Amino acid sequence: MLKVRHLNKTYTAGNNSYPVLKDLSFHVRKGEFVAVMGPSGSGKTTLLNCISCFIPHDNGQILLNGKDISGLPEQKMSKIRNRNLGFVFQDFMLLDGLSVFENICLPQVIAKKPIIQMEEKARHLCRLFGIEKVMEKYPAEISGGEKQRTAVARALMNQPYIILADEPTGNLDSRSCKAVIDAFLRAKEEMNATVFMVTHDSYAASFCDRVVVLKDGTIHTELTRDGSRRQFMDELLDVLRELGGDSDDDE
Amino acid sequence: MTMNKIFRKLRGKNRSQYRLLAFCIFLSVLLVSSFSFMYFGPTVQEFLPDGGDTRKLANLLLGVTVAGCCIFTVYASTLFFRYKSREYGIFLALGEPKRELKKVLFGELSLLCAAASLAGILCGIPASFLIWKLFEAFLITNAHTAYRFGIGGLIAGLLFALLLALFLGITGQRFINRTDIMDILRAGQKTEMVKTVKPYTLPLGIILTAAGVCLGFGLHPALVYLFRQSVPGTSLFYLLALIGIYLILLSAVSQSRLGKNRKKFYKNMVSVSMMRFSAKSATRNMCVIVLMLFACIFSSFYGMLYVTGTKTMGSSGDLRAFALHYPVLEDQVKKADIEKTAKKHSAAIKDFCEGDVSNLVISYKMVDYDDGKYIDVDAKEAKLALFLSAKAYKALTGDEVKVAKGSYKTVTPADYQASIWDYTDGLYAAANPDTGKSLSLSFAGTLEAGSIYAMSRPYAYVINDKDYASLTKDLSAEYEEHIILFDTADNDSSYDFARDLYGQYVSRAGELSCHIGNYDAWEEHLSTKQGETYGYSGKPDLSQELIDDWKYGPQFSIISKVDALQLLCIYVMLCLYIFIICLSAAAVMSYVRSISIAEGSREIFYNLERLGADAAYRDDILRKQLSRIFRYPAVLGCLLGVAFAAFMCFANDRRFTADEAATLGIILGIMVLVLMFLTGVYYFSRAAARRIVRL
Repeated sequence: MLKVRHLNKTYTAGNNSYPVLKDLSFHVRKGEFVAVMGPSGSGKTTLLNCISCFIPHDNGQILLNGKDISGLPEQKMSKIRNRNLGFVFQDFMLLDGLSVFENICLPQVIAKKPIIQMEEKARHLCRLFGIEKVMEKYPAEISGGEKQRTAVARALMNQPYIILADEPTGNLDSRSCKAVIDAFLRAKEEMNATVFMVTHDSYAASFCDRVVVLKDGTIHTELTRDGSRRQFMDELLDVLRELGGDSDDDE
Repeated sequence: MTMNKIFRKLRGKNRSQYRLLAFCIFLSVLLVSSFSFMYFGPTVQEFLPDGGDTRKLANLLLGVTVAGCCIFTVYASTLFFRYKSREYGIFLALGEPKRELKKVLFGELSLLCAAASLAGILCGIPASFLIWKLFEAFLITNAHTAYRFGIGGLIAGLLFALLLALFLGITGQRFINRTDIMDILRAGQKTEMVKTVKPYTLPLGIILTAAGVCLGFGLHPALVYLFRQSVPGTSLFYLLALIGIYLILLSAVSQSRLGKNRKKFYKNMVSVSMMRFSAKSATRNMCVIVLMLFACIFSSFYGMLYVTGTKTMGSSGDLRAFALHYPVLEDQVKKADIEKTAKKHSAAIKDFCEGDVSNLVISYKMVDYDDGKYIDVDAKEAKLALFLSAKAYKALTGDEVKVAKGSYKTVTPADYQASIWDYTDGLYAAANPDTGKSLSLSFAGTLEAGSIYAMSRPYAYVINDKDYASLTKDLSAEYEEHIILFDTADNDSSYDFARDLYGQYVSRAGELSCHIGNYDAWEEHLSTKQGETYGYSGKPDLSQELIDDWKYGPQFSIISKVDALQLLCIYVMLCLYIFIICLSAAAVMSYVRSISIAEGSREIFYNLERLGADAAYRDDILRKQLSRIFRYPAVLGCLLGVAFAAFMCFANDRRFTADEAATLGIILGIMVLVLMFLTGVYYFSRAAARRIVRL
């Protein structure tokens, strides 16, 4: 579903250049739930922003369902963001002036999809993620977990090829975190959704099928879950301990 | 559900943002169009001479008004766009094409501009009428000063609205051109660091500000009066004051150190640390607010000066309401003509007096400016001045005056304060220009007669009757002038009579009296003798209705008053507008900065709450942050404005006249009103900020 080939990205500040992503290559299969972890400064968020085409990369390819989406003109990129990519941000990025239901409908409203099907689908997603009771409420009136589940539902509205999630549990307590991860898992099981998540939370990552661990802009290791979730989490913690330092990401 | 419905709903939810921008557009258009309705109206346009200094100044100030309105409206729009940026960032991330968002944005902006501008222009008509009526209420009115509507004002208002729409369009275009979604999404979270603020910042700031103001304003007059030396570029010292203001504000915003008062340090620690992140931009912003408030206070001071200055014009300084002087060889208006004209206008002449006086060559001491220096000059037989015998002075003024032989008395207006150029006791000899007979004279005091003072430069002099007879013996008639002074029973109602008489006077003026104000026949004679070109040989345009620069121009106080009224209307109006614009700009900028602070600190307030800070503590932190934004610029700007005004009053003649003291008192009152207004804006901004940080 998503292939990244020889991706390079360098930040420049004054006369200094800081290579953040160095010849990065990996892929994410359809229906797979993949997390990216790594210590601070390893390039996690930069990688996600490059894949989203929110920031330009220096060279390399980003293939979405076989098509290179890098360097596309604005108009085409908008279409891809609307139809083929779904976004979930750490601080939810919901429109405060719209109700939960309206926020979820937004991608299809932008795509000018038929209203009846759109509303039916939005209701279905609300039921699926347990937010039907807050459908008519505004973001300011609901909890962080509900906000993020709203964001996940919104990301799924147009059945994108992949959901790109940037620290989706970063602002949530453990109960809400579990509810959001549960939402991703439901999306994967019931809608065969593909999820690519940047996180520093090993608990959240332990629910994934695979975890790509970055260090200094390159892939340090890739861990695939083949046992229980708890075993997988221990494995992850071992790798992170080996890398040293915390895995807070603020780049 | 459609995009239109979604945008409509978002507009409904963010109504306050649209309201703020619409209000700023409305206010700007209202200010400029009401100004234009007056300035481009037939009353002012017919009065102001083409290419005259007043018109140039008025145009310049109109430009300043337009620029000020544009700046504060565009600044207010930045808050509007900041709110929009998050919304548009989400739309872009969800795949809404930029083209569509641009269409929506420009649609909204066009509608907002059109509606607010239309309202502004429509309200501008009654506003200009009411302001005009306000001026008329306390000054003389007549048919020439009636409010008249002109299409020019409407066109100017419309052009300004278009200009404003263009600026907002450019700002909108720049906003939409920001292609980096991440930047847009995080636009509200951008912060900046400032270098450590040194402990000496505040004292240094205070010293630089005080030094800048004192040197910038006081150095030049001090050098001139003490050393007779002019040094160019002393205004550059104001830059010191600007740097000082910046340092004071920087210290106020972000300086907090663990000194003796540890309690205070810990109390302010959080609020100061929060401000530090945006200290640089906040300080810059506060500097602009200081300058705006300074301009605000200073413009009100200037306006008040015009008001007090005009009220005294034509009353206390002048001996009589009507004064004429002309060469005796001219066939000018006589007593009978004046009485006939007065009868025509049902005006009763009273205190009529007339007499002949002579121009004699004077030797006197004066000050000249040459090559950057003020130098004392002994001007021997340099020019002509009017001389009156004691008898003629009595005939003209009714005042018995005794002047000893060989002495003179200098005629001045009432409450006269000598300037740096002339000395009232500077004359030491007078001579007959025809015979060359000279007489040494000594100073014996001054006499107050404003009408006669205005007829001769540097002064008119009164001498002993015998000295006068001796000096004017065999003096040809070309050096003699006839003076007529009188009042009417009701001077304030004599405008039509005055205009009629003025017209007759101008029509009868011949070659002999057709000279500009600085013309002097003796100076011309000397120049010609030395083969030089005489600089003041120009002729006034006697075809105009009222002549500005005319040596023999009649002094009719009613005409001067009406003339001054029109000038006053223009100047006071301009000062009033600049006052309103500067105050509005300061209020809008303070409000926008307060909202920015609240937006930028939202997350920190949330964290503080998680750390156990109760609502009262968080409210206190917010209050401290916002009060800095308002308190320091308000106090600094107002005090600087008042100090500058006081400096200016004093520097004029090294004293405070009663009028100036009264003006300064009023300015202090205005300052209090400005501070009260800003306090109101502070509470309004704080309420909005409290909502943002959920308090």
